[in-house]
Amino acid sequence: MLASELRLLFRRRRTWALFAALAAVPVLIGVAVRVSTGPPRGRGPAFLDQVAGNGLFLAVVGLLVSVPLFLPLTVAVVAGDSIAGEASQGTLRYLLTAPVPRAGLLLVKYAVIVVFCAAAVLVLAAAGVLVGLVLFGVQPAVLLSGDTVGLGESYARIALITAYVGVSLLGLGAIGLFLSTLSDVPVGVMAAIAVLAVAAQIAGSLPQLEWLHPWLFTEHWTGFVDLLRQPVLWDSFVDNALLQAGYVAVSGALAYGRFATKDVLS
Amino acid sequence: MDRGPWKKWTPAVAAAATIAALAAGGSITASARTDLPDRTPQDVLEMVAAHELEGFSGRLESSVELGLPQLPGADVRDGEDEDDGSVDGRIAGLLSELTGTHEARLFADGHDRFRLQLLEGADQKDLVLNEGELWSYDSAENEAVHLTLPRHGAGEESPLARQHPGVAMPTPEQIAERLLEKAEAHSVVSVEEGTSDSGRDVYTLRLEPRTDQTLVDTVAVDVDAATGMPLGVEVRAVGQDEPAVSVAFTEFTPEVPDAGLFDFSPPAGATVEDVSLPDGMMRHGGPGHCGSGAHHHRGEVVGDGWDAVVVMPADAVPQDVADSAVLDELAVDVEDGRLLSTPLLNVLLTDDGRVLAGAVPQQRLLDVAASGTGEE
Repeated sequence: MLASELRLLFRRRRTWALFAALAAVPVLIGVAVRVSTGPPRGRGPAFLDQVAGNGLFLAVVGLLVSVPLFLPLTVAVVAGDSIAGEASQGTLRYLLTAPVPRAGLLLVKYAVIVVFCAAAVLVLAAAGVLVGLVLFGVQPAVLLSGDTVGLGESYARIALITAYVGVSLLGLGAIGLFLSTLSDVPVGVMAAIAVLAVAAQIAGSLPQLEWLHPWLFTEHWTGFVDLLRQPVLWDSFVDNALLQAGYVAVSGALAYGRFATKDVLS
Repeated sequence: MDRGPWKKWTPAVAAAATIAALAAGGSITASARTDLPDRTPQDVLEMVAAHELEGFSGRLESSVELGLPQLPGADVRDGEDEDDGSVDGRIAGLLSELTGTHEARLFADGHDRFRLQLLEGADQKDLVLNEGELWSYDSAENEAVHLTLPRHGAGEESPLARQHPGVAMPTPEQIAERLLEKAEAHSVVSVEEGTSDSGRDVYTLRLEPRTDQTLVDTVAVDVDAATGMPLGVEVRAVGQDEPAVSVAFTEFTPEVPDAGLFDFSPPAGATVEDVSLPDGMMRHGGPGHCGSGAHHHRGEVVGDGWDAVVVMPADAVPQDVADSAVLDELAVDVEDGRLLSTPLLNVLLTDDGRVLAGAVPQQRLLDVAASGTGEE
């Protein structure tokens, strides 16, 4: 069942359109930096400046730019569609006639979302690495601590950052799955998920809501810069993973509560 | 069948309850009391004086709440602002660097190599000392500064070396005795057992001033029970709920870190500045601290305990400091001068140009000023 759901996901033209949009992010940044004389100094983290000198950083910058909006949007589309899409097309009851418990169906649907999250960040990172290689070439990378590391470790760090961003999206995916069980209108669910992601980030930037910050699923989304330090600061990776696991557990359980008690009429 | 639908919600309730329990449980275990052998203040001070570590790595968190109003210039402080050299810029820069919460990582090999990393959001500042070679690197500016330290006798090479008394120094027992003698003259000294922020068992040495002519409520020093290393300092001001100053390790590992950490060479493309240091400047901290300590020897100290007041005569105070707009904004007018008041420190700028400072109530500053100390 998982295999057929995955085939369905990757056969959809929409999925590939999302991947193409994500891959376009590093391409656009790379071309923009290439044709201009260089990014203005002093804006944002210093490693933005390094793109012009080192293609390796394009993947990191591409991920950094996509984390607040583009990646959540793509997750919102896939997660929002997972249950509500079937319901709106009237295919949900056929799925439920298969000898699979409802919890099993939810698990399969969530597994599809997880696979999509992984594929999305991989596409983004791979596009960044390739475009950076073509446009700028690669040199040994300079970390935030001023240490220079070789190519092998640079790629390892990019892989770690990619994994970090992928893990960051799991909580949102689970929330999306729950919201998707609430409604039969997939577009509404997609919008709700995207709005939630943005709202959480806005709340995270308000100092008045500081007590709430540790509980926001977006809290550690940009924390992957800690992986660019020497030695690696693992705290944010661990904190992020725990936070996302918490959201997966609660949202998943809520989704089960809702889905298992739902009257499927269509 | 009535209970049927509700059963399906059980996992949701259970998941939320588990997380709530974990969150609450975490804070309970953090304050759990530990079972350490009893120690007197003398024992703990001896531990500190005798401690010798073969290196460590740790994570520091410092927080300073001076209770000053937000400075208008402090937010936009950038490379350019600092470099204009004005007193206002320097004061604002220093205040924003000192106050608030800062995080750092510290690595030391126990001898003459250490590395300090200040974590500032997506930026980082590094300070690497490797056998007399000092590097500082600022990731935001991509700037490195290199400094070869003049060779000195033991005890001046690094902050770490300073904590290790040389062979000619008195024994730990003697140091502890002397310190305790001095401390007990002015404070009530006690020892508690506890757990530090880093999760290690510590003895907390607590000093409570005997006088009420001070703003200091308590000073507490956490001393690692296993190694004797001081792990944290906390200063509380009278009438404040939050500590005014707190510096503590949030993580501490008493193991020699990877030696490669101390090998620093500036990245390609960075601006590198070579600085040579005249002898005798070693005593004042790094660059940026110049000016704060330079005038003290010309001042005079009234009182020798917690109620001590530093008085600087008018000619020792640079005119541009007295005229600073930032000071004007922070200070309030009192009789005979202007008063800069914080929970822990009061500074009085008298109308005749003297500056008085101390961790004392403002009335004591006014009394000392009225007694005429520091006047020509």
